[in-house]
Amino acid sequence: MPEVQADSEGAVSTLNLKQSCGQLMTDLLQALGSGILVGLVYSLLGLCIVIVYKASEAFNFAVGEFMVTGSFLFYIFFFDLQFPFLIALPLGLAAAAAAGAVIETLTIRPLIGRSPIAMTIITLGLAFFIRACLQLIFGSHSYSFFLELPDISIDAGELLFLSDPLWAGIMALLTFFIVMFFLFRTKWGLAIRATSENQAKAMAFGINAKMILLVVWAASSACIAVAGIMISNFGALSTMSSIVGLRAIPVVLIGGMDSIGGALAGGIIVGICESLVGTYIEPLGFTGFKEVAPYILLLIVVLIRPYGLFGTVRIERV
Amino acid sequence: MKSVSETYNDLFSSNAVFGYRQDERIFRTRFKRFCFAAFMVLAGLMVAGSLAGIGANEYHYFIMNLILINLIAAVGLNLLVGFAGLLSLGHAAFMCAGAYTSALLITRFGIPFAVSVAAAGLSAAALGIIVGTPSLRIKGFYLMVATLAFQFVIDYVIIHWEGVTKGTRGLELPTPFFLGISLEKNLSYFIFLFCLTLLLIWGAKNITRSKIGRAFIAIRDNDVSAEIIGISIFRYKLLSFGLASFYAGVAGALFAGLLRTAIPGDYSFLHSIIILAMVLVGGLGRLVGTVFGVIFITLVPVLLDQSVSFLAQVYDPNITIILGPVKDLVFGGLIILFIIFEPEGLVGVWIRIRDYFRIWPLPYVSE
Repeated sequence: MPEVQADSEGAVSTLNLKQSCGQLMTDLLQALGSGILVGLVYSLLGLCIVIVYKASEAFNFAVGEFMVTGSFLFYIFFFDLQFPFLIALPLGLAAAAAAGAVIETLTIRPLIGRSPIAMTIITLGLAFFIRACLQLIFGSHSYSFFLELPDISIDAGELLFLSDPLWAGIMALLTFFIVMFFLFRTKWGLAIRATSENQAKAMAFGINAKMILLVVWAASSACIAVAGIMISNFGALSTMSSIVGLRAIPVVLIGGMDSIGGALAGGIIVGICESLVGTYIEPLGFTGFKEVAPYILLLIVVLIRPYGLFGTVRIERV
Repeated sequence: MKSVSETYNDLFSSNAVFGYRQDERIFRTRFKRFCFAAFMVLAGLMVAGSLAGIGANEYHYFIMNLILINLIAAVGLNLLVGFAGLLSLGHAAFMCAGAYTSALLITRFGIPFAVSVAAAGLSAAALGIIVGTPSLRIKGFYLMVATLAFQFVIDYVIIHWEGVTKGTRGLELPTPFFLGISLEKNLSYFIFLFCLTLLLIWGAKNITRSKIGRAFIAIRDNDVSAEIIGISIFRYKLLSFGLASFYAGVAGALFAGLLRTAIPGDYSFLHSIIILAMVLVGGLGRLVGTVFGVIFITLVPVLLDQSVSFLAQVYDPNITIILGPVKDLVFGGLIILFIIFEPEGLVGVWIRIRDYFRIWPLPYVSE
């Protein structure tokens, strides 16, 4: 902020003030914009947790590891086997879905009928297990990851949005809508929604609930892979990228565990919160506060509305 | 004069109980009492042996100290998760709070080690009661995630409050003394820890077999009916958080005392999961189970260390690179396998073995 100086320089200082106001606005818009773009990727991660939660009542803590697995599978097709992007992407996603299905069959299926907490805790074990497997196979060094997507960066005056985050936002939104379409406009989606509403009733109507669980885990694994590929495209891919998965936890809790719209809103809220904190609070001397801020927001939301902003309020006295 | 059924009961040391007083005994069967006595004798022999210079060495005592410290933390977590049914992923944060309280009291104010350990427990308990407040409104994994959020917040505060905690470099501690006796050697620290652990487990046992423990179990099994029969949920939920974090704080302070440093890396989110895994693998809601679980989960990486260094010597020195991932692999695999195949935990295995031998010569006579 320029200081208001002597009267003779009044005009200059007003100009400075205007300029700095404009600068502030640009900063804010820039922060909001990049927050929303990253937030869309978080939304996608959140969505994957939500659909798994709705189908099996289990919270997937291994989301970061699923993400890295999917990214590495895509890496094999795109960088090692040199397939073109449009072929490598479906192949990578299919492989990720298959991996998700295998994991579901081996670990989640034996727990059907047990408490959801057991399933949640098993995903904690899965997180360790998958990360260790990936480290043994791929090592712990970083792999350079560059998709060479067409440049669509927006450079409007002072605002600058780079191509990679824009692509990430677009792809995440696209995947989000594909999942929505699948859930709300197809027969399979109807079966999934019916099962998540009432498993016993759905089975009575002839829906194979085990098959549904398999499909949901596979679909969520594939969607997590999309988010993983987009996040790896920001920089590099390594087994330690799975830390990003921890960002998806506040998304789901803020939005509400069983709300798909809540995942979208929660992701954008977390993205904006991170980027605002990064722009305005971290320079004040709070380094790394960006990583904790979503969790503080989560605590506030959970204390005020225990079932998230958009979650179904269950009537129960705790 | 004992009744016939009681005599029969004594003879086969069966589980049947005749009255509340009998139900509340610490050792409900002779077999358990015998096992405990045998364990104490073995521990005494081991210490006597090392004082005479044979048997366990300092490295072994270091591992045993680790086991005892983890045991204190895990017993606290079992009170919370196993008895009160409140899931927590932030247990390491309370250990961290305890460790730093103790370290600051010792380095800044020169307070004796033992007093600082008690103070660490109390400060962690105070923090635990604050962290436990959301548990009044949420449960299940909403609570799990809320405690996880607290873990990250506390980690952040400890790492970035450089003026007090010196950030990631940590605080250095002097050699701990207890009543003027130096605890510099791992053996002397072990004896101190062993007595303290016995005391704390005895305390936990007394909590679980008294009114408080029964209230916890009632809340765990059905919180609505617990409130209807007159248990104050507000008081007991906060009490369970306070007790659990007291144990964690004591364990944290003792761990800092063992390593002579308090660094935030020792109390991260991963350690919360490891302690939770100890309780799960041991068996929820059983103190004996926790002992098994802690020994198991602490020893597995140690054994892996040893076998990998052996393999490195014999075959290929490069094999040590895979040590870290293999530890994670085994740890994650253990959680998965135990949840799928042995949900009761090691205590379930133990009960099956024990029941087999308790009624051994006459397997069809019991009860």
